[in-house]
Amino acid sequence: MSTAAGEVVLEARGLRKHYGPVVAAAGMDLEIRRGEVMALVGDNGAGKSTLVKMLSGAIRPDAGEIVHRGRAIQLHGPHDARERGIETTYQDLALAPNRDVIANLYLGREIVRGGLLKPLGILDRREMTRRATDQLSRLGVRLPALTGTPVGRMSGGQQQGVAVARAASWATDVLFMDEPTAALGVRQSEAVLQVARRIAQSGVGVVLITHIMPHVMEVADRVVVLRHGRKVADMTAAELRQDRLIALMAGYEEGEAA
Amino acid sequence: MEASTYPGNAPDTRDGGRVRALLGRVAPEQLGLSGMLVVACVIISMQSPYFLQGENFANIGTAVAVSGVMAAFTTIVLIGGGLDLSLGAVLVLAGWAMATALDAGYTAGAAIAFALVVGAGCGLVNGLLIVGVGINPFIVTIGTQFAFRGITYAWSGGGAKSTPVDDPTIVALGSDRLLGIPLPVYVLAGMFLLAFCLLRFTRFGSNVYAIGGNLAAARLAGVRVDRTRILVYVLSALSAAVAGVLLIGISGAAIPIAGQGIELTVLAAVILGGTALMGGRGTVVGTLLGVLLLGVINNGLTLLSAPSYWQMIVQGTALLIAVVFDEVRRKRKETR
Ligand SMILES: Nc1ncnc2c1ncn2[C@@H]1O[C@H](COP(=O)(O)OP(=O)(O)OP(=O)(O)O)[C@@H](O)[C@H]1O
Ligand SMILES: [Mg+2]
Repeated sequence: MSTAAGEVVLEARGLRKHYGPVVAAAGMDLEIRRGEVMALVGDNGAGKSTLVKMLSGAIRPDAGEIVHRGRAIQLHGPHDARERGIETTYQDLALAPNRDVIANLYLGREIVRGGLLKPLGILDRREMTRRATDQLSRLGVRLPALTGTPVGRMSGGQQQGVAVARAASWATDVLFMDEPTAALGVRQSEAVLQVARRIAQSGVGVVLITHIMPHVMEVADRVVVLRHGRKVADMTAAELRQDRLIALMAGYEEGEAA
Repeated sequence: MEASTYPGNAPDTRDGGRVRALLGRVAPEQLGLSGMLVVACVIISMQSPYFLQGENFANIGTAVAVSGVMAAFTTIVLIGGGLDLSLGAVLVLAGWAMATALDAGYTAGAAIAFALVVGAGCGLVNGLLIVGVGINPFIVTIGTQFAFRGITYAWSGGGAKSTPVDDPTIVALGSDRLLGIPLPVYVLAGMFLLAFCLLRFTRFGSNVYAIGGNLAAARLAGVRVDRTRILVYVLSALSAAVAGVLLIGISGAAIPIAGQGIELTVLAAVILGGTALMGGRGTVVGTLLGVLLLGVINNGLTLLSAPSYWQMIVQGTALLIAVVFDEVRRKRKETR
């Protein structure tokens, strides 16, 4: 696996987040590089989701800085992040259960007919279906039906496929995946990891949160370990040994990057 | 074609796919509702020979037009996970606005426009309180229901005062016919078509379904949630204003105490039509069936000269049955 660090596309500097007395993020630093799959690991409650949510505009940090393409930015909502090509699949699935696959893939960025009708916002379902069919093929995501069937009626794995495909379709800079394989069988997990790989190869920085160590070993170019709202280790796949990783997560061993 | 490698991903374009895509799948509850409609018609026509006459159908059409116009847009409100109980009050306030404008010598067109502006204003108040301030729509629209009706009473100098409206255009709108069909029926059809197209063909409609199904998801996906939800309440109130204009045309007077409780009739029709009380699911076609079913039953009760309290009993029961069905559907979905 190549560990050559690409350009740093998104950076967290000293991000902090408190929930009352709970310190979810106690000053976190992170560098996300293009072309790299980063595994973000740590025990339950370590602050992984919190970090990702801050970097994808879903929550506001209390302090610290977010740097995108070398410039400090403010994210006023997920909308802001998405406009910058920063996409996320959330741990708690963010799908519209009663809508079909096409509507979900294009949720919030529907293609509408142009010309005089444009202000009316009339959907161009045919164009959306055409592009989605293409995109899903390219990503290797298989779904039973693109139109007419609400995604809420699909299996957990298929729904996860929709969520992953949606984020992957639009990510140009960063793709965050918060436990995308948590509910999946072996084959679907494999497919999701493949998507992560392919998206990284296209020059996107991919951040994968997971508790499944074999997945980390299989796909990650870099591994970052969080504990109690802090980064305790940041290493390349080459430096990585699984037993050491588990020790770090559990706190038996102090990492070099406290 | 690339898609052939992934046969599962083929869009649904088999025979009939187009038609189905256009009309939406025929839900079993819609078939059931159509069945009930037919049964009601058969029973009533056996009891009263007058029922099947064209004239009676014209009556039914006019009778359901006022609540039907609002039901079309209440469908959108419910799908979006909202609720609007201020319809009857907006109806009379907008209606009184029109009557006042006519009184002051404005043309019918200008007076109708004034009614619509007042209606939109009411909807904006609802929307801003619900979305902007973040208060439960049930509480907000009960509050504005009292406020808007109170304003109407104050404006008209006391609730018992009504004023005749004899503007020829408005009266014609309520009672004239085209090709034997009363004009209110055309208005009703137009409003249903508008609601149908909004839900099925536009980004707005697609977003309304998404918001009602999972508001947090819609927001995370970048849908302009607040704007869409406010627009839903404005459209709802606009439909009430249209209903107010129609009612004055039909009755020939602006009556501040009219339309009390009409929002429950509207809700009964919408939920009977298969729209989920909790949002995310529903169709305008189902609502139309619900409106027609309630209209036919009410008409039957009138023809059979049943006392008018029977209509209240039937409507209340229909609302409750519809809600029970809705709950059963929801439970069944959860345990799938
Ligand atoms: N909305 C919230 N309100 C209060 N506390 C919160 C909230 N979100 C997260 N926390 C707390 O912040 C801490 C970090 O949570 P976070 O969800 O980031 O952990 P995580 O590393 O993603 O864990 P997991 O592996 O279980 O998903 C936890 O102690 C959690 O209880
Ligand atoms: Mg988490």
